[in-house]
Amino acid sequence: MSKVKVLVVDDEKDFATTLAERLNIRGFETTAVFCTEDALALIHARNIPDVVLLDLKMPRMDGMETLKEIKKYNPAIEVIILTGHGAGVPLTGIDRGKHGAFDCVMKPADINELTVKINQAMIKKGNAKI
Amino acid sequence: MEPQNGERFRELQLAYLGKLMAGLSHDFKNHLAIIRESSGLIEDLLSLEESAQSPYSERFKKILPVITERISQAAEMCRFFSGFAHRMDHPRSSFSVPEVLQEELSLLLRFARQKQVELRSSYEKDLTPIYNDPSLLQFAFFCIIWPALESFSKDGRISITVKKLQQDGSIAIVVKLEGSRVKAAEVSPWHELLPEILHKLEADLSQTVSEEGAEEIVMIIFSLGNSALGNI
Repeated sequence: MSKVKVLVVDDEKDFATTLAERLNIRGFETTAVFCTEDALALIHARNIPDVVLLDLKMPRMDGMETLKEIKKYNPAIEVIILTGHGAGVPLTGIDRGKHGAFDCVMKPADINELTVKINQAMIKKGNAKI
Repeated sequence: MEPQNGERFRELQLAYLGKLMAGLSHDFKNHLAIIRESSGLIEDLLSLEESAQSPYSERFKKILPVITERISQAAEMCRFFSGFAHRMDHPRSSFSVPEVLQEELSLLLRFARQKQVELRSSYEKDLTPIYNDPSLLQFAFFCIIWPALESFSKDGRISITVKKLQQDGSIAIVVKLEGSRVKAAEVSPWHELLPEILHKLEADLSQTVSEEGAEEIVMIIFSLGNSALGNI
């Protein structure tokens, strides 16, 4: 059975690479990139991930714009937003129905919570591989 | 600046502080996220390692949960701090009173610990959000709690309850002070600001003092009236 492909997009390199390594230990096939441009280039090169873990606040193009671009290119890619935004405050703009993010996880996230979310995203796709 | 612009000036001054604090808490969360993933990776690698390969692996396994626990506590504090900072983004908005108070209480806990005063809170479930000024409400709450903290010698207790009043549907924040107090909270300069703040919040404040045995109990009821209620 092929592994679930995960793409981590975060400008914090240490975070993205460590998270990718931990997900790989858990049986995912994870790639880390550090800017949205690289993420979109990878997807446009037909290296299609099943799930994207996307930081919300990044230089140049932010997570919301990237989310729209990803969904426009391939609506089947599920996106989980990773954010350090404050609690108790409405996450303005993260309108799942409108922009199509599968879910939103607060940083620092628990690896088990993330794993569950990724698997739930795969179930939504009707394609649970793990 | 014209006097009528003074209020706008203060609003922007608060918004500026809020933006810097929100940015700071965001950065802290990123640092915590990296520390959490790094310690998690060490834990993962240790669990992959054959047992007893390293003389320190057992010690690492004991130390790592301590790091994880501290990260969780720091992350929770950051979450409240970030929420607190973002309250200054908009002068008026729809918000949950318990959430707004809990953000501030989390920041006051350290001071309460230093004073050996216990801070307790309980919130009625499913309270309707109100439309008002969350940052100003937090300031009003501070102007009540801070003088109360300062007034205790030690071993005091401050209990905060938020509930809906049946008679008029307003939301009441009930602050109960128990324990020996060295001075009255009402003489504090923070307390003196309350009338103006209450006027802006369209809120009322009442205070009763009673005695139970040798103990003086002060009840402060802070109610946000109907005019301030409503979902937006």
